[in-house]
Amino acid sequence: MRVIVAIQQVLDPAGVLVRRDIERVFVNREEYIFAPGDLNALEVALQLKDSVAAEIIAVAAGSARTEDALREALALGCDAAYLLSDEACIKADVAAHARSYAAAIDKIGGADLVIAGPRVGHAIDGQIGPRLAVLLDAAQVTDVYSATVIDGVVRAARAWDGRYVTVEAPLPAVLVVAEGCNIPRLPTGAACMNAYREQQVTAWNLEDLGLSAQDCMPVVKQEGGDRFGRPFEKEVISGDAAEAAKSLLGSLRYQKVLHR
Amino acid sequence: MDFSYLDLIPEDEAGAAEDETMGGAGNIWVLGEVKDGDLRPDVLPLVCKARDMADTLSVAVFGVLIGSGIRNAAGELFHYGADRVLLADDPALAEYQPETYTRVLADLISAQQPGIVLALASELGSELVPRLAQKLDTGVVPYCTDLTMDSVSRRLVGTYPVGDAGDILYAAVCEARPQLVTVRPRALSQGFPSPREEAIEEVAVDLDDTQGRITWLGQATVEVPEAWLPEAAVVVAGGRGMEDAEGFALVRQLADVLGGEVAGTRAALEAGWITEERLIGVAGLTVRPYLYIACGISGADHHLYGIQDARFIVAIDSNPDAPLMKHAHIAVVGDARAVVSALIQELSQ
Repeated sequence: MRVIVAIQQVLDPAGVLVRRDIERVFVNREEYIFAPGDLNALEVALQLKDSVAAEIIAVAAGSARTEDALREALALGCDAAYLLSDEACIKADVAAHARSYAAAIDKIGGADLVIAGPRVGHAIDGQIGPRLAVLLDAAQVTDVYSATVIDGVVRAARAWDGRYVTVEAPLPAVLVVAEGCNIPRLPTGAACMNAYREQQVTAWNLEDLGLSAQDCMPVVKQEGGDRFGRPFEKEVISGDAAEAAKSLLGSLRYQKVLHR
Repeated sequence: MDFSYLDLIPEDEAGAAEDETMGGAGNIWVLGEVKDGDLRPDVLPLVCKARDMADTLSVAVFGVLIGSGIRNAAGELFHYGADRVLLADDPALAEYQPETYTRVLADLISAQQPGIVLALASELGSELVPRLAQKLDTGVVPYCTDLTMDSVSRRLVGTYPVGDAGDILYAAVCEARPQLVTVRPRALSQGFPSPREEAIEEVAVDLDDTQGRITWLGQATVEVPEAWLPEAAVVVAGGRGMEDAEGFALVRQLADVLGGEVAGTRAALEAGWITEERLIGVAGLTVRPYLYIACGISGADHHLYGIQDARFIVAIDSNPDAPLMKHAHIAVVGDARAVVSALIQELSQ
């Protein structure tokens, strides 16, 4: 069984300071890390490999630095790693990413199971999985907490209506995991060194994937720069309980935290 | 009155401009979600918002309902301003299947060409809408917390949070038509009713050879905590300041009224008011709600660790010098029990 995990890198939030009051973002340390949700996706794949015979392949779209994430995936136990990187794709949106992931999966020779994380970059988005399911004509299960494969059928525990529900889907299937659904394992030191010394990351550009720069034109465009919510100002309320409750609710409504 | 100036407006030009910007009919659709025959209440703010935008653009608001035995849910959509409801009511759609639902919606959208489709970023919306986008070759502005309509260019600008704590906002526009937008539940405020006459249009459901592939294994649920605490949008926590189990019941009640989850400190755990999976702090869970209300919690460091990602913190305690009162965005000084019961009373009115 071949399992492909779609991964990405994100800016480490620990190195970023957001000041709402002066509406600026300070990047104190620009370091990119394995997207946390994608680590959960990889962990689901690795747990499958622990129980059934499976080949795990990590595929990442992004700039050249994304190779680090792929090396980390190799150290964690992936069998192969592919980097989809092209200068023309820097501004690509999720639709373009989905197209290049799908092209890469085809080129690898198809997959029985594709596992993706819930976010794209820093936005809570979860589009990659459903889009891939359409492109690959595969079954789709999102919000997955755990998954097992038995006889060509994937059985997953997913969230639905605030409850966990078990669903089954035939292979090939696309799973989108829920962020924080498991505790990702850590690589050993030797595996990390091995990932850089012995193992290979295959890099493909648009031409290798049979796509053109036209396929990477974004449809959804950001307007203007970063925006910021209204800065929260410290407020102390005291006095009679009923009065305090009234003014607390008033403040919460003003800050748009409460909507009723 | 002299209306002769109206002749001066070139007719085709006005029509062409409309076509170009809004893709034909260009109405605003709201995708409704039905649970056990009732409309999900989170959908109503979307209808109100759609009504506002439609009035700006002079187009109509359509509600879309998919499922089986869902006719009764349409009434509320009309009450809040939908001009028409498209009803795809078919026994084959009783069970949610990504394939069939996408098929029905994609066919409807291709046939009627709406300009904007709004959906809830719920479990259903956030997996259905990207599928639609892929089928229709358009984009999604995901997980919006605010929507604004640019009435000149007739484009919908969606604002959504990014970053780990969600404190940076991006504003994005979908350049293709229809513009698909998912809105975070509870992000928009509920508007006023704007009743319309009921006009239900039943849509023929033709699934052809499209079949769902998911097997829902009955209603079988796997050891369910009511909701996963770290994901909750509103968390109300209580600590030693609630004094006894009766006091803590108020915390539970407040969480219920706000539609949030209840949690507690180590003191609450030791007193037996909560179980271990509702403990917040170093030894328990880290939560990242939109609103965190701490009732009678002083805020020891190991508790603060668990709430460092909370967007908005309200602390209610009698000691104004407690660490959490210093940390909070709003600190309410007073007897926690009295304030919490006043809050419940105020909110249930």
